[in-house]
Amino acid sequence: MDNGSRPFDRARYPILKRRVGVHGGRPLIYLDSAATALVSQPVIDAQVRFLQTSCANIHRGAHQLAEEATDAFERTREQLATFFGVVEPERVVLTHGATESLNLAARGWAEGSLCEGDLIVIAADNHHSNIVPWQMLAERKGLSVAWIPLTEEGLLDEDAWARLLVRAPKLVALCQQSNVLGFRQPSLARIAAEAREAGAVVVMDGAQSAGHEPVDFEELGVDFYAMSAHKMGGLTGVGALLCSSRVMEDLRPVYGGGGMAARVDASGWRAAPGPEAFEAGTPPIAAAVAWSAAIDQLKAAGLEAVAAHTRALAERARAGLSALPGVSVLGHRVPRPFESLVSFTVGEVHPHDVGQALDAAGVMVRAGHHCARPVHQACGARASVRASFAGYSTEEEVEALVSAVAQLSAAVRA
Amino acid sequence: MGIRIDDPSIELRAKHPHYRGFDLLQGGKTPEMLATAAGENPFCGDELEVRLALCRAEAGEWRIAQAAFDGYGCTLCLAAADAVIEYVTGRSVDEAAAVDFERTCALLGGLEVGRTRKGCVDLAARVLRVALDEARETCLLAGPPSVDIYAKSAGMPGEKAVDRRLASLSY
Repeated sequence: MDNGSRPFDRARYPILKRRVGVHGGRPLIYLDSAATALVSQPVIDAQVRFLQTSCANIHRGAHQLAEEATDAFERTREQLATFFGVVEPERVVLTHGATESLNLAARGWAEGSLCEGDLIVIAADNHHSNIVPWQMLAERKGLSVAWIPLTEEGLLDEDAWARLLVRAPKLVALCQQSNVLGFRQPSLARIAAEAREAGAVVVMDGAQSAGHEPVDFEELGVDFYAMSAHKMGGLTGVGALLCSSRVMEDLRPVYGGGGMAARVDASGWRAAPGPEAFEAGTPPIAAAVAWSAAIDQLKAAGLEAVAAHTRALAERARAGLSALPGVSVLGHRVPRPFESLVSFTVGEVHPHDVGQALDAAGVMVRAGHHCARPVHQACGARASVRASFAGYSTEEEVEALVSAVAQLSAAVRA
Repeated sequence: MGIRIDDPSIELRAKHPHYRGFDLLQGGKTPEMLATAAGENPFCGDELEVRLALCRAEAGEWRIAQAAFDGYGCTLCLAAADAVIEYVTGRSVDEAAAVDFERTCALLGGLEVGRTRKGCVDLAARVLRVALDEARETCLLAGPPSVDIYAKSAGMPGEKAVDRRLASLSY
């Protein structure tokens, strides 16, 4: 497939010119895009350009720079609404990342809308960021928490979900794309629809899928959808929470202070209208502006092309790694394609040691729980090594990964 | 100059530890107290348990007569654990409690390690300190025990970490 044609032009990524290793003699093979995606020069330029020309605070001030900065920030909001299919941009809350987005859903909506004894259901393939906020909330409010467990293969247990549905959960926390298991859960859409039909609010973590495939929020039919810019080629420190109309009405500010209050005096305060009520303080303006450039990049490449590219690489890695003696790919028994990542173990070798060996070969991967311990527990793994791909990744990089793991596997067996 | 995390001495120590496995605590002088603690690194899966057999020396201070560790860990973690346990064996509780990350690196020949792997190196020392803290709180700070140390006292702090029931000690 790799004839030099990739969704993203590698020449636009200055970091890919780096040489790594003890003596700087190895090319950089970056296979940790699921942790954070590399940033292209146009996105860097967008941030720098903003700082060089329109650096000012937003929604404040009455001068030209403040106007320019505000326009640039709000353009990103509008662009996100269009790109992700949210009818009203006012239902796009800009946050500092998916984790804050999910905490906003918990503290800003669920805190005031759920009562003691209400049931929250959490899918076990979630990242900790879509688990812990609900556990914290349950502790504070006396809520019940139940899990949609995973089968040994890593699939959401549909029988267990059917039993949970009967208990009329008030909120269901789902993961659109696991950061450990490479495949998309086949029952996800049905579970989300059934949850909503039963009257539950559905919170979906889109951190690993937004910007990797087409997403239409209104068609998705969930109430909250969280994402981070840095997972799709933007900068760290900014993200978004997409909100349905029905939950937006009851969403309450979590952080109080500047920018979110329409009135403050000795008697109290009143929230500002619109999404600003949930964006207290000065937001990550430059990063939000740069996010717009990352979205432009995705639009130019085409999300379908990006998805097809990463899927091909993930499947290639899955096949190559699965063929190695002693190497076990998490979720490998599920007959669905891996979308953009592969998590695996190498016999009894600790994932840190695998990661260290790969690092010595210039291959950068993630090793550990990936902030998703329940998934690992369900798969019977203490931890794993994860390789993840993006629009700039290549087949040669996949081959380098497989080759390095093969060497390690052979050394272990020797 | 320090050594890197991929130095052969680190792998050698992890693969051929001297203090791994609680069978090592069998035999020897019967300890007056057994202190146990376990810990983990939340991000990577390292899990260690440390067991210390404590005796009082003639001068009255508590010393670690024997010690061992076991668990699941990366090469760095296991090598560090072996080095730490070797160091504290035979030393006073106060000397052992002073082992920290910097000391652990020194015990490994001057290991140089970045922030992302610091937790792997530091786990053994942290677990050791938990075990010692529990032992010191429950039995040592008050000087000679005023209660039968062989009797289990309900509600005493550190119950999970300190096992004072010699009759049912299991390694």
